[in-house]
This record gives sequence, structure tokens and C-alpha cells, in this order.
Amino acid sequence: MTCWSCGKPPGAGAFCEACGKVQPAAPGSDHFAALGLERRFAIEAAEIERRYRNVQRRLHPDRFVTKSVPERRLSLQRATAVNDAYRTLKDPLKRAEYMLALEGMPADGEASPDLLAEILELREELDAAKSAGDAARIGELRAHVRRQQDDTMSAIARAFEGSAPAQAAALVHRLRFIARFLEDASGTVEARVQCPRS
Amino acid sequence: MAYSNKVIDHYENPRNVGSLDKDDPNVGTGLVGAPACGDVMKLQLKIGDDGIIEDAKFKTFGCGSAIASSSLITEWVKGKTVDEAMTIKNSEIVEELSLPPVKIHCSVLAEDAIKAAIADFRKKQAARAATGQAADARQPRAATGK
Repeated sequence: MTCWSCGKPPGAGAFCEACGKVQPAAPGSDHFAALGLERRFAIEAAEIERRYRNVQRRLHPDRFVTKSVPERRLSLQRATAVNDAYRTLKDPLKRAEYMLALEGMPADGEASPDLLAEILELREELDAAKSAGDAARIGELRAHVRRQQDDTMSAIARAFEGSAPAQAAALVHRLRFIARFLEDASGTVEARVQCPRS
Repeated sequence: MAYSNKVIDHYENPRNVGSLDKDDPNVGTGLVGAPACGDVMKLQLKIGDDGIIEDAKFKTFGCGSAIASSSLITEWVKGKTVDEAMTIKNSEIVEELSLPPVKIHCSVLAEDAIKAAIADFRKKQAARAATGQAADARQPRAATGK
């Protein structure tokens, strides 16, 4: 690979190490590469945020208004890719789904009967607590499911580290049902899953 | 996305919400879920010895279309035979409720739930027939033991 502008090796970043001009994304680069992250599930939300702000500031269109046409085009392409990457990776559920897609293992199979039975029981308990106006019980259920959510995310991280995508896919099913439960339990769309500290 | 009037009607006044006794040998329970969206649907049928569906109940934790699909299908199956209920296709639900393409999976879930409930009922019946035969088979041995 050589820089389109100066012809020297541009390095791995968004800008040529020799001349500083913006570079096209490497062929086959993924969302992790777009943010300069290693491909792994366990990433701190703050780390994703920091990388995003850092790279997006350097690619902002305002910086390119006086630049050449290829630079404007390439910076826009890269900025768009970085936005897509950020939207996908900041949400642990979407991040896991994306990693599974990269592994060629989409999480769209059947949910296990045990998982469905467990979720139904929690749903029915939540329903009963809501009808009874039992705020304390709703709080308990929510806390219980939040712990399940943390455990599931840790397990997903372990499944990916251990190269077990099928196991990760089953856990992603679980995370989706948990997310829907928490949406209903909070009565708002506050189901944004938080990544556990890893 | 706009829901059709029929979806809204079923969503606001769902028919047949509730539970039947899952341990009743004449009750079949279907529990299905959509891992793609996190919806859970429980559908139960009470089936007479003549194979006619006497009652149907559901509990669906999901979107309006999933609730409407299960509400509608419980209305449809009551009074039908098990074999007739097995022939209900999700496309009929889609048509009746005017579901948009993104909500077709809700109707699939309802069809799957009916099939799962009937499968559970048939499994129970088969198990009961088997234990019945086993009991009959034990009878002569018990007699010879005397």
C-alpha cells in the first residue's frame, strides 16, 4: 500500500504518516478497525467513546472545506464509516451481533425451551407485580434481571475469547430477551445494556 | 409504523388472555419466542376427547402485532378440530390484520405457538396411552402374583 498523494507507505491510521493526507479505509476493514480497536467483545464503553471522539474530531467535514476533492470525498467516507462503527459497537447487544456476523454465525436460530420457560416465568411475575402495584417487587425483579444481564455479557465475552461463536449466539438470544424484559420493567426505553467491567 | 385498525382492536381488547392448567392432560401448551426481537408467546389449548378445541388462552409479551396475532388465532381455533387448527397458515393472519412485512414474524410466531401447543397435547395423549397400556399389562401379572 502506498499513499494516493505522496506515494510513500501511509501506515495503518486514517492519515498518511508521511504527508498527513487522509487515506481510504483498508480493504475489508471492519468497525473495530474504523475506531482503531482490537476485535474483542469486552470493551469499556468509555474506551469506545474516547476513540470515537478522537477520530471523529480529526475527520470532521469542517476541517476539509478548503481541501482537495479527493480529500473531501475520502474524509466523508471515513467519517461515515466511523459513525456506523460507533453506533454498532457502543451497544453491547449490537456489538455481539456484529461479531457473530463477522464469524458467519448470525444469532437468528431458535431460542432454547429452557430459556423461554425462564423468561416467561419472569414475565409473568413482572405482570403480577405490575397489576398489584408492587413497586418493591418490580424493583427486585429488575435488579435480578440486571444481574443476569451482567453475567450474560461476561459469558459472551468468555465465549468469544474461547472461540465458541455458537455458544456466544445462544447467549445473544438470552441478552435480547433480557433487554426486552428490562424495557418493560422500566416502562421506558431504558434498556440500553451497559458493558460489565472487564 | 402505523398499525391497522384490526391490530389496534386486538391490542386494546385482546381476546382470550390468560392461562389454562398446564398439568391437565387435555391441555396443550405451546411456548415460543423470537430470538430476533425478544418476544415471548405462550398459547394453550383445551382439547376435548373428540379432538375439538374447546378453549384457547394466550399470554404474549411483545409488540402490538404479536399480541394481535395471538389474540386472533385463539379466536380462530376455538371450535375447530386439532387437524383443522394445524392447517392455519401465518399468511392468513397477515392478511386479516394487514401486517406489514417487518411484522410477518409475529404471525409466524402465532402459527408456531398453535403447532407447539398441539404437539404438546399429542405428546401428553401418547404418554397417557402408553401408561394406560402399561397399567393394563401389569394387570395380569398382578393377578398371577396372587
